[in-house]
Amino acid sequence: MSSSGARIPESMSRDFQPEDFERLLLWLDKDRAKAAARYEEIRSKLIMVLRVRDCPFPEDEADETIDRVMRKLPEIFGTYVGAPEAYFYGVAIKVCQEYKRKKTVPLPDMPLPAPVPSNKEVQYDCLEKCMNQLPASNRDLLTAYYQFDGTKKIETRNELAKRLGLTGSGLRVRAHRIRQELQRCVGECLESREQRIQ
Amino acid sequence: MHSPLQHEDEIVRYLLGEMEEPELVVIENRLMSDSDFFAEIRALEDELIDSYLNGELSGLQEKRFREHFLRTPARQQQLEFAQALRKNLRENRPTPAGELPGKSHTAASWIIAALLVLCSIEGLFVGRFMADLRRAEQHATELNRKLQDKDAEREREKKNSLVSSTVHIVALQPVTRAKAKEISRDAAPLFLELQLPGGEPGNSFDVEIQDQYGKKVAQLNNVPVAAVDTTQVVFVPLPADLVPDGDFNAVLRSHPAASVATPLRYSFRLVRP
Repeated sequence: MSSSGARIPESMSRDFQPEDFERLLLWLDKDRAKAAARYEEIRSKLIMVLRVRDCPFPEDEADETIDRVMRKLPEIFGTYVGAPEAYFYGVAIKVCQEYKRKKTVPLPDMPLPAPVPSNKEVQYDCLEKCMNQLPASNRDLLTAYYQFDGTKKIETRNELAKRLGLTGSGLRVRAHRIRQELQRCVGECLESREQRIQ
Repeated sequence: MHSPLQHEDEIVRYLLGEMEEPELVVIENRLMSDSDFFAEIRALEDELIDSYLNGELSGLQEKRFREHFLRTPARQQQLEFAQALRKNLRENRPTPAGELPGKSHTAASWIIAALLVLCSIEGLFVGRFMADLRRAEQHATELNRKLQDKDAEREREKKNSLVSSTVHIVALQPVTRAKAKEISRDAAPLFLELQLPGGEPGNSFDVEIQDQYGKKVAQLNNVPVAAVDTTQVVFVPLPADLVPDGDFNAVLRSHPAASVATPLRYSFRLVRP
């Protein structure tokens, strides 16, 4: 979901009406675009928390958490005091515990699915294409950031941070954002190639 | 107040699932409420993956990384992407030393600056002149980039043709040779004999052995080049207890490291007889 055009996410339960999602956005921020961005960030944060806590299906559990908060929202809207993130967090911990309890039910023995062969060549082509789509400054930064190992890596990164007027952590976050953009582009490229094959 | 290193160390422990409940709640409350902190954690997630691929994690960290961190398919995809990115950046886009992006001044920018000073002195119409210069500089940058891309493409083609036509792996005694790229082993030491393509410069190489995920499992530096008949070869001793059975890559970089030299890549498989 893009932050500019917030629509009901596909992952959300079909029991909900558009006004339920609108209420959630309004709870997060009066500005719709800001609310959508905050929604996306909350979902990413929940996934991170659920992964670290070894919850069995982090993405599903994050969506379940959001569904539950939406269901509860008519009751708490206007009365709940505090940041919505804290509320989401509390619900997520509960959802995770429930999923973990469910997970203990033994599953019947089933053969493991055959591993899906990942087509590295196609991935590499997509990466090359996406790399060329990056603004030159971002491409250069990524190249310099990941070029070396060991002492040379540390020296290069210190020099780079100095030149860009950033702290070490600031540089790392900037490199991460470019890498994230690149990974998104590669994902889309792989998807479109798969569709073409089908 | 924690130092940056302590702070990073804490985040790494968090990501590897090494924290107990009270500590976990503290870090998660901050993660949920502070977007900058969350961004920092995401960035350190990338660093952790890279450290794993570089073989920089301790034994325990590596175990936690495999068993805890890589548990979800999304993280496995992140790892696969990191490998591809690493390969792309290191092999195709070498950065010549001293050419970091940022506020560096190229010769062209110094010339432009000097011309601008002259124009001001002469009282010329600087705005239009600057626009022309900027266009010319953009054009030159674009041309330069295209040339670099062509060079990189040529390098890749050259490397691919070398690797596909000459790469050859032979197992020495006590190892018996099975197929062209399959060797068997039952005792240490295991030697790989890597034939070098003709005209390969250098008297020695740094050899990195990677597993099938591109993770470094062994590093041997300054391995000398030997001559067998008329062929140049590198003998790579593999510690058998270190390397489990499976598919591997050996990446050879000329020693001392030259940032523009293209590494040679060999693929091989180790199987128990």
